[in-house]
Amino acid sequence: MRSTLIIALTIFTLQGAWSQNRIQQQIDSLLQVAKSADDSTKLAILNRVGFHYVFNDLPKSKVYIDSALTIAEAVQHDYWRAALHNTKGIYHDISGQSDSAKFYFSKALSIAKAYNIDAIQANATNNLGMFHWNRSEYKEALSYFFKSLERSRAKEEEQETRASLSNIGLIYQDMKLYDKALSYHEEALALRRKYNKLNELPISLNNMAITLKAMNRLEEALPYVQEAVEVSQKQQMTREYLSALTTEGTILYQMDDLEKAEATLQMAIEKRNETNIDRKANLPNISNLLAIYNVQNNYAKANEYVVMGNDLLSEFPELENAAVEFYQEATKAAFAKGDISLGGDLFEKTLALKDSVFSSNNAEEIAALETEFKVAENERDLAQTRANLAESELEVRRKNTLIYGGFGLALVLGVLGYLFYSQQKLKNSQLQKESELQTALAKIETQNKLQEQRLRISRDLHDTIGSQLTFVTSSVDNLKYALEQNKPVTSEKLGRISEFTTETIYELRDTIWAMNKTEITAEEVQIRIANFIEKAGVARENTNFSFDVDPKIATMTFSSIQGMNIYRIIQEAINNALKHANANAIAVQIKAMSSAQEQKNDIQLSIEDNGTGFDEKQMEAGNGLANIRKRAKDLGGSATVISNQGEGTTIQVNF
Amino acid sequence: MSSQTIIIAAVLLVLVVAIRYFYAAAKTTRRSHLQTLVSLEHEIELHENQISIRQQGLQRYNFLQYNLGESLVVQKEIAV
Repeated sequence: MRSTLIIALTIFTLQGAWSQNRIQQQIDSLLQVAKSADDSTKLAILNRVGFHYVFNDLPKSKVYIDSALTIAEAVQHDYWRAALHNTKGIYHDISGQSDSAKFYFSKALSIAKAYNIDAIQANATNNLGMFHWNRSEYKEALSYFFKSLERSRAKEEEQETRASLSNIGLIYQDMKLYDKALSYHEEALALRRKYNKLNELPISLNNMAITLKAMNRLEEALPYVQEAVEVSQKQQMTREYLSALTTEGTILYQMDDLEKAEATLQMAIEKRNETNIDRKANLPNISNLLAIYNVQNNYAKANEYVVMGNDLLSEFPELENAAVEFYQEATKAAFAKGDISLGGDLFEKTLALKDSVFSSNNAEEIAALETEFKVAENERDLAQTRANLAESELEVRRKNTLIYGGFGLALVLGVLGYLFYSQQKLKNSQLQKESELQTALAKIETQNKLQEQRLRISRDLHDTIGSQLTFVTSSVDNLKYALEQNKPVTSEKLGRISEFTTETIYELRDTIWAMNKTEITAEEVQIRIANFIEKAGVARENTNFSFDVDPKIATMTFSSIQGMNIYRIIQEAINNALKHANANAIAVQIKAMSSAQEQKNDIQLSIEDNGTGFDEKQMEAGNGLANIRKRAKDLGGSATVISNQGEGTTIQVNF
Repeated sequence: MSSQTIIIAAVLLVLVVAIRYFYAAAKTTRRSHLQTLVSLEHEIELHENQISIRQQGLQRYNFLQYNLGESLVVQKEIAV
């Protein structure tokens, strides 16, 4: 572990800090260490060495990266698998194999994500951004850098955001959006200062200077680039130092400080040639020096750099853009010197290159326009898709609202319906109860009033007609008593009147009694008849009375009319037997006649006497027999009279 | 607040208000019904008492002696 840390620190220090020789020596010593180190250390060394050779010797780089990747896959070391995939992606990117580069960066990102290796995730994301940037796919590149930035910010890893910020600034710089570029470079620079990242500081300082130069803020740009030169020199960062010198020379030239500009540019050319780092980047320096010498009319010096430039262009013919500027300045120098032939050749080259660059620029612009158009089209499609999505979401929401509303309404209606139904049911049940009670009340009220009315009529009858009849009877009796000796016929008639009146009083009282009785028990009828017979027996001492009642009758009840009719029939028959037949034996029977078929008791009244008897055909109309038949009919039955002269009489009433 | 939430809240509010209203109405109806029942039952009881008084009088009526004056008690409170 300790050795790993030492190696890691060593590797970290390697980044831009060593000179070429020192680097080579240290690489050799690291490779020696790797031979006897554990897998993790060996993989770290091979990865670092492979990464170093990516910018210096691509075939060598491939050998180290591939061998490290094989070991990492064999030992299944996830961190180094991810890291090496990332490094191999860089290798392919530098080799110009962009598809392979993208594949390895994506693979590194997926492994890093799967095993939560934050550092590699950040690197791979940034590299994918760089990949798209190199293809001028700014939108995709920005998307990756912003993802990386958000990721670091979400994890509150402020210092990890500096690379993303710097890259975003560079893309905006490329897109000529200098204000935005400046703000991102400033942020990156501030973070690098804050966390004392000296090996990264020259990059940010140089970026600031280039952006300010592009914005023609030369006075502001100069201190940044001077600091970049100073720091990179101190840190022995040759590549960054050379870039900073070029920027400084260009700024000084544009500021018309030709002397300093000349010295700076010459130093840049010398150092590049010395270190053999990116020598083709010397062409802009040469062009700027030519421009300075043309201004100073120093044609001898100018000629030296014309030769140097031509040599460089022979070595790197792909430098067309930078060559235009060089040929322009070289043409000026040749014509100024009086070498018309050379001047003409250079001018032709300038024109040819301008046409070529112009065409190339046109093609690039067209491609850029096409890309912009495609981007716009994609954005339009995306906007359309989003609009459709929003519309369908709105539709779904509307439908959901309708469904919810429908259910809600149905529920409300259902509950309201149930409540109305319950209320109505309750009211109906209450009304029914009230109605029953009102009916019962009306009935009992009517009954009560009827009874009361009967009672008052009864009382009136008793108090008026009854007392008047009693007075008539009393008066007739007095009159009869007075006339009894002198007028026997009149007296007899008066006796009959008195008797009839008394009978009327009895009947009146019976009527009153019946009127006030809703029903009469058989027992009451029996008592009344027995009473009557007893009285009759007292009046006729030589007449023998018998009265038999079937025990079954005792439990029966009659209506008051029925009771009164039974009593009257018996009374009439006994009166007839005593008055007209002169009977000395009278038998009264009340029997219950069982009827098997009708399951009810018929009643038979029987009044039998041993009197003179009679022939009904010879009888005068108006006697009591007619009354007996009428009352029997009222009872719902019939009366049978069996009588012969000298054989007594039997009256039977069945009902 | 989404429209669904508003609908649910509105439905619940209507239901609560409706249930409270119907509950109060039912309570009032029951109270009124009870009062009516008590009043009717009281009147019926009154009539039953009057009929009972009359029946007792008539039961005491001895038809053998025809003492109607004592038995046929007129109840003056009954408007015939």
